[in-house]
Amino acid sequence: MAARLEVEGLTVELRAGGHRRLIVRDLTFAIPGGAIVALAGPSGSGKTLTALSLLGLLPPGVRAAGQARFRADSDGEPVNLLAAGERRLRRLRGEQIAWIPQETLAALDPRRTIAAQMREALPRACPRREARRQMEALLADLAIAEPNRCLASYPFQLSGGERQRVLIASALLPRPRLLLADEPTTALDGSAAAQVRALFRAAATFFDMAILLITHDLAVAAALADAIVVLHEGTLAEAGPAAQLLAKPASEYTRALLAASPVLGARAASEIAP
Amino acid sequence: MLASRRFWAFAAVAAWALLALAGPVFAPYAYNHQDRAAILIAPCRDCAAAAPGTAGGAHWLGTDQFGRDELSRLLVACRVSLLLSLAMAWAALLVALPAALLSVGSAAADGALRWLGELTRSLPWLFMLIAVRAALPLDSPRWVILAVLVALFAAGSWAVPAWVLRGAARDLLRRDFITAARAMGGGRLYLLRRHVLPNLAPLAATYFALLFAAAATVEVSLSLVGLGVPPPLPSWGNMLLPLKDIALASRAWWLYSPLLVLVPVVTCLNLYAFSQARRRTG
Repeated sequence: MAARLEVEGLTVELRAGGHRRLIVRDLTFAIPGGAIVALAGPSGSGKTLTALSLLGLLPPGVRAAGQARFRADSDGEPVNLLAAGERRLRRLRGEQIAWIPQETLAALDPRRTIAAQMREALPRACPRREARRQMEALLADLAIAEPNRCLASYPFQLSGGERQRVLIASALLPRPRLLLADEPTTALDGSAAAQVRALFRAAATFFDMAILLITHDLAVAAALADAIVVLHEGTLAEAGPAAQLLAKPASEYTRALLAASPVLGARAASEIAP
Repeated sequence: MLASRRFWAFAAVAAWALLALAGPVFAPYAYNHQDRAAILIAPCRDCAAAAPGTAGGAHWLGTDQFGRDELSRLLVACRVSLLLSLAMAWAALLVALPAALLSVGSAAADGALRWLGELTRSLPWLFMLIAVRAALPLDSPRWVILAVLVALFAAGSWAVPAWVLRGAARDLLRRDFITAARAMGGGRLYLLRRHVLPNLAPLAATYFALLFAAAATVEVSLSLVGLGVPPPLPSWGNMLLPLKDIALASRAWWLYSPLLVLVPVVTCLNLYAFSQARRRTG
């Protein structure tokens, strides 16, 4: 069975005024349906641009090359996301491939209510009441205390954690086949983060969703991902099943990243100590 | 403080809008009624005693050089001038906004509009206006002159608002929420309607107020070159026109009455634009 997403030799390059810089170099990984794969690495390692390249939404001056084969169904024809035209991509975005942006305040239109913006995630044909019911239910699942109040609010009226959950809900609403989640739990407290993780796991299991979890924190990856891809300065440092990679990191860089994580680092230290 | 200034500016403009709509109803005379026995009489001191509507009756704001009641004409002029300025400002904005969006959408259009904008800003407008007036037949119908006035104002004043709106739209398109909306599958028209236009609206409102204020004064200035509202229909511009004559300007002080309305309206509009801009920038 072919994976939902197969990224092969992905290269992302910034070109500005005759100057070139490789941001991601020859990255290869795959996400099967129903699996959660973490893309871990420090800030500036090219994680976010990797996600944007899959959506065809790279900022001006940034180009991607390579292959990124996306299959909506395991026996379907693959689409190369890096070579597909804008019209093709637009049909895939949202409904098939959803994105959870990292910057919660910037990613919401300041002049429109949460309800109006979440509504965008559902097909236009969806009846008003049904849309409302789905939005409220999903926000409640994400531990939003008063979904009604939240939906009637403007982005600036919500806390960072609430906004993050609104963005998560918007991405999950259409039940996409592939979810690109960029640091989805950074603004959340422990229990809300646990709830989001549970929801991601449920979405993967029950909707056969493939999830790419982008994070700078190996502890987040350890708590949720089936497999981890470690990115270092745009190149693949190490990749493998989560348990194996965390227990026996092969690369020097992964070891450093592990040591830097307050949770995992402490655990590693206690395991070493007698 | 700012909120209250904004409120007062808005309230004042609303009051004048009401005046423009309802004012002519209260006019004691028809705007074109001539009282040959009462040419250039000063506002009366005991108006209440004289009966209005009769020959030689009360003229609260005096009469002009044709014996027409200044107050009645001013009330009608408010309607004419405010509506005309509104049309002029709308026309300018309706050129500026699409031009701004077009230049964000395509590099070729951007180049062309930039060049056109520079051109309109470097033209000697006063001479052009006189030339346009010269090209129009003297007996042009009123609507032709008004349409030319609206078109000329739009042609002369679209460039600056278009330039500013273009910059704002470019900034807007780089914002994350636009990328987020695109990631949800939003197409160009959708982004324009749901995200770009609503976010440009406050800036457009600011420029609309500025254009409205400019239009009111431009109508007055253009009356001087014969491109204002054609008489006998009164406007602020053509009511002030007799003051070209030094003798009238120095003696018939009551003929300045349109300034009573024009100056506060323009001031309030500019104040509104200013407070709106302050609010927007925080």
